[in-house]
Amino acid sequence: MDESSLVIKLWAAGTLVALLFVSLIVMLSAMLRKRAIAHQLERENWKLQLEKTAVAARLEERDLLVDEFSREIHDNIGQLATMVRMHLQVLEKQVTDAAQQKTINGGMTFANALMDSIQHISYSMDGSYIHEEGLFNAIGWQVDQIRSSHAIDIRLESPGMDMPLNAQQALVVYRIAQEAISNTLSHSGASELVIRLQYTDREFTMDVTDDGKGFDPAITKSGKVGIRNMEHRARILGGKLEVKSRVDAGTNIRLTVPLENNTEE
Amino acid sequence: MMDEYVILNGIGILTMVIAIMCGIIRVRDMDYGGRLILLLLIAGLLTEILAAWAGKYLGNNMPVYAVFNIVEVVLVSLFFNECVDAFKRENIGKVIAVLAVLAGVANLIWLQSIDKSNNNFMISGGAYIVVVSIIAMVDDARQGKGGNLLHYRLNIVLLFYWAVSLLTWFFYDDSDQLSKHDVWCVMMAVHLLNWLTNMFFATVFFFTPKQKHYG
Repeated sequence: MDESSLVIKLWAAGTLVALLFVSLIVMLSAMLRKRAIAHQLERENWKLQLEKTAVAARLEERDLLVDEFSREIHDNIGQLATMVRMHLQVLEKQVTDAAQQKTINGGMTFANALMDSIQHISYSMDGSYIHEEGLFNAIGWQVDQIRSSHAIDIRLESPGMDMPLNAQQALVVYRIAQEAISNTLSHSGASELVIRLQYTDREFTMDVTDDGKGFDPAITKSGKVGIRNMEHRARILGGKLEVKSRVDAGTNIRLTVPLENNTEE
Repeated sequence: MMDEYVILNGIGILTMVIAIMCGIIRVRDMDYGGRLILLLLIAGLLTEILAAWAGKYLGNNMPVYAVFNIVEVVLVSLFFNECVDAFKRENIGKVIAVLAVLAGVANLIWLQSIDKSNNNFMISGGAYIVVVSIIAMVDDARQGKGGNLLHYRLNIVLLFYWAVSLLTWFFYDDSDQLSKHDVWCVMMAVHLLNWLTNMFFATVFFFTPKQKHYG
């Protein structure tokens, strides 16, 4: 073997070894990188799950408190209002003087209004009402109450077929609807409010749209506790909440909840 | 033969220009480390042009390459200073860059003259680049999503180029013993390596991960 071919063979073999070495290093580092990313994703998922559980627990605790409060209002204050009306009815029979009867009648009217208000408040706070009546009727009841005040032109629409949400989903959606309606009534100055519930095979969508003064989401969003609460609740359902608004152009709040693997409770 | 030299060099310069263009297009998304490698390619292009001129009009382009080799190791060292956490913390890359200048100049003065190939310097410089690029790759890979993908990819290209070309520098002293045909084979392989490396740099630059820009 002459000197030239020995050198060239060594050089070629060396180059081949170098290429193999580089390939090996690249493969090993790619594997290391992939494993590190998988580990990080796992950790992030775990953290997200933990955060979700904590938020869900906090909101559930609050819902329980609200339910409890609702029952207390209904059972105690409602009971007291009923007693007041009964006493007034008894008193009305005993009194013969027309002027006194008029006063008692006035008192009974206020007692009835008080009982209605108590029922209204306890219904709107009570989660079990949604389980019994269904989401559409529960929101519809809220809509009726607001409509009767003539403060705003409010409509509830649900085109197409209803797909049943499970109990937890219905309660969370109801709370979001309440928050959205409350925000509109408190801040928007709107003359019209439309709530639209829509179901497809894959997802449930609720749009709450008003024609109010709107706001700049980039400026306002971070500071809005109401919106943050709605977002937290949406996340519990694995859904998302989008707020679209412009100054003087109304607001649209869209809740999207996936219905895949939805099971009735 | 002259024609072949011009064509091969022309292709090399073309691939370098493509890589530089890709780098310039995405320079806004690059960090300091990425820009150093882009600067290295620009310096390489200028060197090739200057070397072609020196070869034609002065009859020897070795001094041009001798200076570029030092600049190359310096720029890669500064790049490593951005890649490896330990280097950045202690400014090791900058220290090595200074040492590389001193070693390069010393090599040209006392060991290998400027008008000859300074392969001693390139062998040690190449070995250093191979080792540190592996360290930088592993360092980046370990950080997973937190790692710098651009640095990781650039290190792969550096490792590829230097692991292979190190052999050429190593056998450089034996090149006198090669037959004309074998010299031609090695020369073709070296050109191929340069083209591939430039195209890899072009690809890496082109696919630089997007960065968010504020304002």
